[in-house]
Amino acid sequence: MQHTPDFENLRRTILRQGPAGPVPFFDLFADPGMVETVLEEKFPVNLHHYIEEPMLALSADEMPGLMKSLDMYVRFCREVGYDYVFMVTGFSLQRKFKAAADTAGAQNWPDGQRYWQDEASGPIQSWADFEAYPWPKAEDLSHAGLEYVSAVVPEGMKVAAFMYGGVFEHSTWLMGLESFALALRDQPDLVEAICQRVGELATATATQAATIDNVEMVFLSDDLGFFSGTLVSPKVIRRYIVPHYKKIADAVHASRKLLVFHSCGNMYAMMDELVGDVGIDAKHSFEDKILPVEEAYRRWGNRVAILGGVDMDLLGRASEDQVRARTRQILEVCAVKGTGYCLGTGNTAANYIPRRNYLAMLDEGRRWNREHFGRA
Amino acid sequence: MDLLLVKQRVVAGDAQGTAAGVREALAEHVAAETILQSALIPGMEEVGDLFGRGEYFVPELLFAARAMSAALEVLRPLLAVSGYEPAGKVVMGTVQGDLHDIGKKLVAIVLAGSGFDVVDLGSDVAPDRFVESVKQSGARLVGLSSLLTTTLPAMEATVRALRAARPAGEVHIMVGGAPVTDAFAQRIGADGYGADASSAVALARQLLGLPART
Repeated sequence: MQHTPDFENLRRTILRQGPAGPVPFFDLFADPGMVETVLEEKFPVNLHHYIEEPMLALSADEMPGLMKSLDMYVRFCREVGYDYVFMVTGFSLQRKFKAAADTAGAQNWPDGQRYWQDEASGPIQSWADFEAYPWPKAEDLSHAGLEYVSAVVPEGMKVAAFMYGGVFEHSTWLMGLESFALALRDQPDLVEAICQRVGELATATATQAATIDNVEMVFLSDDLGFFSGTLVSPKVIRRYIVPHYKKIADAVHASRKLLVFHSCGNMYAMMDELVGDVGIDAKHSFEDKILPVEEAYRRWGNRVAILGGVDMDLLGRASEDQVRARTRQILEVCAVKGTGYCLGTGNTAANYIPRRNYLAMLDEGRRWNREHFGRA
Repeated sequence: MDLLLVKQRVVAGDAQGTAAGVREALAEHVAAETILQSALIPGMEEVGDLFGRGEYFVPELLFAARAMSAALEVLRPLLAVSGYEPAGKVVMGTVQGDLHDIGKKLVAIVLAGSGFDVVDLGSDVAPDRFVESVKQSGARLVGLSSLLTTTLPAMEATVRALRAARPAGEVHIMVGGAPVTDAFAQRIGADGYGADASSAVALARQLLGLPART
């Protein structure tokens, strides 16, 4: 039985409104490798190139391959059972990467190398670097991928604008986390200026994306935490980052769209402010080792939607039966009300998750929905 | 110079003040090792505890490490002359295929601050490099880090390589990182799992047979 897309059910679920409906599926994004594996078809272009550098000028020769790739994303989302298509916005800033051999199962990076953010350093270390940095202008941001997908999205589905990196991530990427940390004491005015400039661009992106037809959700993705706490103190986050979150939330809500906040790690010291003051509609990203999604649902489920939470490590390494059992365990706590929870991975449909485990998680969700609502 | 004040400057991450305090104490004929053992190491241990309790974060740890480093620059030549022995030598690194460095670096900072001599091999370290470094340094403890589920096999391969080169008991192996658990550590034959920087120090002391901190 194929899923009939129903974005309105997803919207009601995120807004925690009745009537109770089937548990929607939710993920932040799917790695190109996972999309290729599920569709059993290769992308005609190197999509990583476009995800990392959306500001680059596209030539006419590239367009057919790029459009076919975007169509594959639409088809992927439709076929696996999402009620929306996730697509990156055009917000991206030049930064510094390091390369290592890709160790994931579904590799699709060219030359087998995967690129990772350099944690130690970045392109801005001084005021001179800040001034010389090629900052994009807000009015020049191009969201071509989003616009294309919005025009072809299937009946019943809508589009989610995925901001790949938020205010904290982009600011720390520009300096390198270590340099950023030291600059909090050595060059606080520079830190403030970077966060301000990034915050303005992020707010402009959210504002622009939220006004595109069929874009009904904005994903603000900003990893604030690690295993035992936030990377920098809540005081620093409150001072430099949260005011921009508030502006982003206000802009998204002014367009009557939903704001989903994705943040990895133990950032729970900030949760009450994010829910109460910023006004996020949903929180995404949970890790069993830090806070199982059921516990998050118990703590905040009456104030904000809780999304995903099937642990990435489990999905990556466990058997299909174990994935099904854990999915069922989560649904029996988070999905009994039939609202306020969506099923999905703890992070993304990453290329290191075996296809069978990813599909088993979703299949278990369909079984749940058939048992409780008579439809998938 | 009051050594308590030097310790407080380490905790506050005041590099200039810490180095100045060390110079002042030396001018008052306080032994280098006394400054290290009574001010710097206790200061870094307090920083590690504050980090473990969630009161300090990455920046505060880096500020303190910078203060410790400034102090050691002054003390190192004198410690070498006095024949000072560190608590133990530890080879640290993030395993092959994994470029995530910061978590391992924080553990290395807290270990160094607790009196260990740390050889930090960085990230994306092949098993052979760990083996070679252990041979060269004579370290009896190795710390392996991994952030990615997909690099856990590299962690297992590194444990195997180390065991093949140095039998259990001769070299102790502790592991940590986001996807790592105690059960995984046992399964791959590591000697222990450290959940965070503070517990890694306690584990290091235990594995090397050093008395636990009071």
